[in-house]
Amino acid sequence: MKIVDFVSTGSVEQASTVLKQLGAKGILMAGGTAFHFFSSEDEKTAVVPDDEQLKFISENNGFFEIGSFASISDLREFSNQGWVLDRVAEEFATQQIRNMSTLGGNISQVFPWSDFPVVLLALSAEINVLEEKESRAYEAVDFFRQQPGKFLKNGKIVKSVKIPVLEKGEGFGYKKEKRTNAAFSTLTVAVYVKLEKGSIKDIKIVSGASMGMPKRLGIIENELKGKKADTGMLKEKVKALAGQYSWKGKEGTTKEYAGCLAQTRITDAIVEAFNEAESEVE
Amino acid sequence: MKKISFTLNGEEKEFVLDSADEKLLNLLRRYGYKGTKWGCGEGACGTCTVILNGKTVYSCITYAFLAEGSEIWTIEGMGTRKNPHPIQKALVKEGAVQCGYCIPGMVLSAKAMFDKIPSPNDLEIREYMDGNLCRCTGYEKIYTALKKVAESNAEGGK
Ligand SMILES: Cc1cc2nc3c(=O)[nH]c(=O)nc-3n(C[C@H](O)[C@H](O)[C@H](O)COP(=O)(O)OP(=O)(O)OC[C@H]3O[C@@H](n4cnc5c(N)ncnc54)[C@H](O)[C@@H]3O)c2cc1C
Repeated sequence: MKIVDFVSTGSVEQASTVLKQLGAKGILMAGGTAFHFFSSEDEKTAVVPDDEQLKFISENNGFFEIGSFASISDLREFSNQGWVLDRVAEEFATQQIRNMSTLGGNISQVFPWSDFPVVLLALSAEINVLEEKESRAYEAVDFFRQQPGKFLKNGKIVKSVKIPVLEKGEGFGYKKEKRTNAAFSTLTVAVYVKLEKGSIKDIKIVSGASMGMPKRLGIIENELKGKKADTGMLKEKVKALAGQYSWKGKEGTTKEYAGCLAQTRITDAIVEAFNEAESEVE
Repeated sequence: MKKISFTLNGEEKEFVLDSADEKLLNLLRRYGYKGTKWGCGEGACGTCTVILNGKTVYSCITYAFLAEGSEIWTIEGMGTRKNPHPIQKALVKEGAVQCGYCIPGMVLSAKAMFDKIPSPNDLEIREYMDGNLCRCTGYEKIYTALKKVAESNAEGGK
């Protein structure tokens, strides 16, 4: 993408107005790290809001709210009981990219390798979008139903994201497979689990990269719900069911390899979530 | 073309962009700050690393206009031949500099780390330095040098 002009605005509302005026010629820029991957034919005017207003992480009524301009480093450095995004941020690219990239930028234009869409789907996040001067809340499942970049037009801007504070009995797991430390993922798996008396009351398993765009693994979820949180049973079920999905080979690997990798990493992510849910931390 | 201004190595300066698409690395080098190196050009190798508002960024993929009003440090602001920065001294002392091409970026990443965590542990060093590649040293001597700086900081910077 070629940036032919730029406009710095104050508030996000002003940015939205400017974007509406520019129409197809305008594009919101946060960290600008994804621009590298856009077609170099397109000529655009970058609209850059004053990011300070949307650079926050707060906790209220059982939820964390994260401003869309919070960087991946901000997510990494934040630490609180029930906060899990630091574990995802740690796996994200390199320090320089974590410093520049924002959460909003990561979820507004989804690539198969994108880390946070998978995670926000597993955590049943709520995404607040500025539309026509008002905010509208989308459930993650609706937000990611199509490429968000397709409907985030006409001045629509992601303002914040809400995720639950994980409580006792709840757990989260994230596994990212990559060829080298800083490489894009060949497979991502995010898991949320809620255990009650040692049984799986609720589970959400989402995978990306090898899967293409992020996808809930409903067949495996349904088979696990209600069962005891037992690693032996889990391994057996995942082994039997992972093959029902189509896994694409990435970065020179075969689809058979991708399938085996998926089996292992889905199991690992669920075990990570079980362990957290079973831990005694208050 | 549009002008931007930012504080570079402690001095307020004005720059004329050659286009809105210009990246910070290009702008710095056009103005003579050639210690910041051109490497991969796609945000992977780290030799173009500079510190922007206290955080390291890859200047090869950072749009120059995003630097407006910010504070930037490049290798030219770190030390001189006669009076090297303690990080530079440690790297030389440990024999961590071979071809030297990655070193400006390494020094800036290390500076951002020590400014935030004066005495980082091994894992923190690996995390803060994970965006800088070196093709000569195998990293061990670089890490040894940084550990020595961390130890010296823990002892009060002796
Ligand atoms: C070397 C390198 C390594 C990378 N590694 C990873 C990785 O490990 N994992 C990963 O997931 N990604 C990775 N990426 C991709 C990229 O950095 C991320 O997608 C990043 O999170 C984008 O954030 P940004 O703030 O830079 O967004 P930008 O590049 O500024 O914007 C991306 C898109 O989102 C839109 N947008 C931005 N913010 C908003 C908003 N608030 N509301 C509406 N639309 C918005 C923009 O208009 C644009 O279309 C990598 C990129 C590079 C260059």
